[in-house]
Amino acid sequence: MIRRDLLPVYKVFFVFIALLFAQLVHGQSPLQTTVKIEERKGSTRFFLNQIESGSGVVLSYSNKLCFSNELICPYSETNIQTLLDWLFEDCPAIYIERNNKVIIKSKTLRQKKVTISGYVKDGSSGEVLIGANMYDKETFYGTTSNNFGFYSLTLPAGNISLNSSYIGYQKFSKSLSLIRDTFIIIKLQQRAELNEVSVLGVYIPSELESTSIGTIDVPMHQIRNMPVFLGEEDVMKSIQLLPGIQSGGEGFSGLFVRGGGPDQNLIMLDDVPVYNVGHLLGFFSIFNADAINKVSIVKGGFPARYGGRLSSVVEIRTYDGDSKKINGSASIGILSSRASLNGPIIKDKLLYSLSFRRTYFDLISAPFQWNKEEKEKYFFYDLNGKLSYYLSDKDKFYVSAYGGKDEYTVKYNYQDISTSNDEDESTKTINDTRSSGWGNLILSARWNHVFGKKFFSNVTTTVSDYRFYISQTQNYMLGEQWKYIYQRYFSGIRDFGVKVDFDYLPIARHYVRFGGSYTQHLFYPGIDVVMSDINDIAPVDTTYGGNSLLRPEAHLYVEDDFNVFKRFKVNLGVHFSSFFSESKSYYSLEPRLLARLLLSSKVSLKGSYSEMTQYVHLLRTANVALPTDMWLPVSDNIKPMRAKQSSIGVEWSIRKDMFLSVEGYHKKLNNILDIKAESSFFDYSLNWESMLVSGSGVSDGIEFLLHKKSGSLSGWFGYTYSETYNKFDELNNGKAFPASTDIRHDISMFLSYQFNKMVDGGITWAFGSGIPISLPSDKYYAPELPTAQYEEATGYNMLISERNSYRMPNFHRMDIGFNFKKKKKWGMRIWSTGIINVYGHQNPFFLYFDDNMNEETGDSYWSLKQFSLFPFPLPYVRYTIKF
Amino acid sequence: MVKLSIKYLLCLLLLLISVLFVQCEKDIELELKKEGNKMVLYSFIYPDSVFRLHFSNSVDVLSKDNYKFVDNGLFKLYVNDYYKGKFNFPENEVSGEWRNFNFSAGDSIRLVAIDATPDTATANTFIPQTISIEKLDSVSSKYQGTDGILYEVLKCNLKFTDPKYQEDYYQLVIVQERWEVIDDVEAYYREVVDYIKDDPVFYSRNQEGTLMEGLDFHGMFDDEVIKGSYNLQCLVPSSYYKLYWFDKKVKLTFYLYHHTEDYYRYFRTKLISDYYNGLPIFEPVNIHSNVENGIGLVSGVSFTLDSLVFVPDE
Repeated sequence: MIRRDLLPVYKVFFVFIALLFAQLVHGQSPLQTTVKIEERKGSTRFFLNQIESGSGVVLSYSNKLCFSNELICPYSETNIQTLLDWLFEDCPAIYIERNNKVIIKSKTLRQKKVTISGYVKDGSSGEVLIGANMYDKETFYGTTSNNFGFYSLTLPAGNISLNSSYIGYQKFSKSLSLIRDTFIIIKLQQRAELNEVSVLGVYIPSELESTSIGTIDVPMHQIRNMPVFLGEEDVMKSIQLLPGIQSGGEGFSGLFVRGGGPDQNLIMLDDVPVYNVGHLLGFFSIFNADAINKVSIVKGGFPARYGGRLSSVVEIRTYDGDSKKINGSASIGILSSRASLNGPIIKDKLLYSLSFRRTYFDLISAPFQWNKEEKEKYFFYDLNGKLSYYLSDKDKFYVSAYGGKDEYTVKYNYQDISTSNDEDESTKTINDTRSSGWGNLILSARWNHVFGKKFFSNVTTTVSDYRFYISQTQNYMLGEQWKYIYQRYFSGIRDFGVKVDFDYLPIARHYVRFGGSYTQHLFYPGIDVVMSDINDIAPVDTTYGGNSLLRPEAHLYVEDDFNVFKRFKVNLGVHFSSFFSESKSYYSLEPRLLARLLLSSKVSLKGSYSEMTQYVHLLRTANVALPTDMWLPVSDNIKPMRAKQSSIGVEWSIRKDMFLSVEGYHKKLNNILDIKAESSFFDYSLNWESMLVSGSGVSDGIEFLLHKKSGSLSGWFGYTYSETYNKFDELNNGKAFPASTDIRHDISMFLSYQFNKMVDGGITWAFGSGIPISLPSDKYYAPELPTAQYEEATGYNMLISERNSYRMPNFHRMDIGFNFKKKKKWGMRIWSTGIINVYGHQNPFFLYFDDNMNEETGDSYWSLKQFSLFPFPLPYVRYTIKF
Repeated sequence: MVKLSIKYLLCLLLLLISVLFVQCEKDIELELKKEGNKMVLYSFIYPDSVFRLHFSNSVDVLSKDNYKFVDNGLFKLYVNDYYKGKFNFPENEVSGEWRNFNFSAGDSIRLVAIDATPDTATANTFIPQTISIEKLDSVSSKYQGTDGILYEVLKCNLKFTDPKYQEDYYQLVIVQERWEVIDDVEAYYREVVDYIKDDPVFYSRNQEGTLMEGLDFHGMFDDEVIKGSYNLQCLVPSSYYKLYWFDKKVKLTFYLYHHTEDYYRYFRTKLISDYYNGLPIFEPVNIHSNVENGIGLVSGVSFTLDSLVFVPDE
């Protein structure tokens, strides 16, 4: 019998016992709850869900834990803790119990970093993509692929959203659970509407993110959309349409970058400096667009890895070749034909790329000169070749070569002569020949190696050889025998170099680059070779001159691109260079700083300061680029040219695909060289050092670029205002004068419109203020000199009161072009056609004074005349097949 | 010896471009600064010789004329800082002779020109000391041209001493005189010798080699490679001294001019300027002047001479 008064006590007791029992039965630690695993294969999330449903225990976890997509559970039944330990064994977690709930937190979430590295490639061809953006959408940490397509990104372990983008390609996005270092080759697919993206893009990795300022990438598919002179796609001409860069004259390939001269640009083909980039006196560049993968130009804000020139660095990268299948193209134009072929020799391992171009003006004109006494011939060609061997994901080897030549020949004095030997007598035609030519030979061999996941190295050995020659062959009769004399002059420069570059990406916030190079320059200011069979035994080969100058040049650099604060990023570096002349050594320590401040998600403020040194200079023959221009080193008397450039700019992302950038710069040049006012290139009585004067220059400018990157209608509008003055104690009475590169207003516009998938069109318009020129102001009496050996008196002299005090008329020209494509069974055919100088404006090539006759009065008078090339609309057409 | 003419090839190349690309030329309106009216003076002053002067005005660059006469031109002369007198320049003439002056080597001269405006132009110069030809040797020799052919030449060595501690400018001019008798008719010829300038003083820029056609500076040279006593070598082609059956005598006279720097620079820049004339792609070269507030050249000149005489063997 239970006492009623004790009933409440019993109730409490029973409740206690019940609770105790329940605790004994159910209430052990939730982590100790046994769970039966029904399905033993799945992702981390799948197993977490199984635990919850199988145990009734609620699991709360951070999505920054390490998650895997595919796991096989070794247990069929075990407690929750064991399961959790197994699930997060790669990134240990801590578990906090709250009633029937377990909170899972990463024990080392803040410490553990993992590196994701690899290559970015074209999905169909396997070609590496240079400068592709890579970033984690969650944290916005990012990087870009380097010149060999390699990237490395170190991030906190956990879930990330890896994104990759590249102009003209579909965006890549993938959610990953980063547990350990990972190597991924990202294959981007070209956008179907590729041709709609007619952009010549300012290179902004992650748009406003980068510290780069004054750096522009020129995607090759944009260059191919531009109207082109005589149908010849031309990299250099496309670069000239960018703000801050001018050509300096109608048709020329030379670059005037921010007031700098054409010799102040380091133009590199696969890391090898190219000393002459012009065919046909610079009307066409030597770079065959079929061979080129990537073009970029740095005109200010030089990171420390660049050095050796004052004004710009142009990097041109050639195709490795398709790693999957053979493809190629062939093209016929008005001036030249070209063909290219690339593909795998061993699939995904050994690739080749070949391209060839040659003009055929000489072949066409030959029949018209059949009966002429003097026959002229001109041609140029270039050949690009590259072999790429992908030994493994960590080792790649490349060998590339370029050979190109221009040759102009005049044959004259044709004679039929009789030759006889012991048996019979025959006649043959001989002629005298004058010939001139120039060309480059460029070789490079490279080895890429990836050390671990964060360290990329590139070792390059290079040869660059530029030659100009002029030769003459004459036949003459000595006694009764015909003999010949062959004479040849050549000048040039030959470089042998080795270069080592390292990319080190320790953590996401840092991108460290360091390396060095050594170049052995051999300058050939002029060598004569004479051959003659005068002795009837063997040709005599006599070399005159031969004072080649051997000059070593070395560079070292280190730079780090890193975030100081979340919105403030800098690229800090230093470049050291040295050069050894006859008996003097020159050294230079050049600080480099680039900084970016994100003002908002759409606006960034950028600034830079860089110092540059140049040890080689171009002794120019004339105002236009001529092959006789001679590269010469600094010497004991001629100091290196130096530049200090600072720039500041704002980039505004108006829309997702539209940017406005405004950039101002101030550049100061020291020890720049010019030929004395009273000297001449052809004055051999002076050594070249005493022909030069040293002075200073200053250039200031502001550049605007409104840039629409995609859509059916795309393109850009650029405007530059700049002033450049030079000052030499020995020129212009010591007064500053406008430099020959001083082009005040420069406007460039490019628009591209995609009518449909098969038809696109492009239009360019360029305007430039007249370039400064020196013109005489007075004519005055010139007597015959009393000690002249022979009379050469013209009767008058001309006086130039002031240097560059006049300007040529303004330059402006509009070009228009269309591409009509059609798919074929074997690939695609493209008709490209267009008109250069649409409205037939006569742009000045040079000015000169000449006699004229007044037709009405018969009086003669002097006038200033303008000489123009292609003064009326000049159509072009080109037919291309691609397979 | 044939020289390779780069100028010729460049011209042809430009012509080719013109043909290839279609070209045109037109008069353009460019506001040229109408200058002109600058005083132009010339005088080459030899010791013990007539003092000749040129005085004119420059003209606008578009003028068809080469000069303009000076109105009421007047010269004042200072020799060794002493005022020597004035000279009224003849009207409508470009040259005048101021007689009754005898200059000597070493004289410093200041010439002041005044016109009707009245503007003043001044030129300062001096007459260099004569540099003696200490010795003149010659020997028959062979010279192998760049064409490999051996030419018969007269190798001449001309010894002189370059003054120390000053920059000196020289010119070697060789003149051939030939007296001929054909059918009892005597003839006399005079010709400047185009000798082979292979001495280093003529080609400092020897790296360029010898095949490229450079400018011929008429035997001018400076003393950059000369230290004190110097044997200047030149080669006279045989055609200049070879005697034919009708030759009575051949005389080679070696003139060693000692110039002022101004004369040297004027001469060279004039030659370079003329060389580039008609090639607008080259930066025009300014011709040197030593006339303050004017243009032109006033310079002293001195020379010494020596000669070689060739007569037929008896």
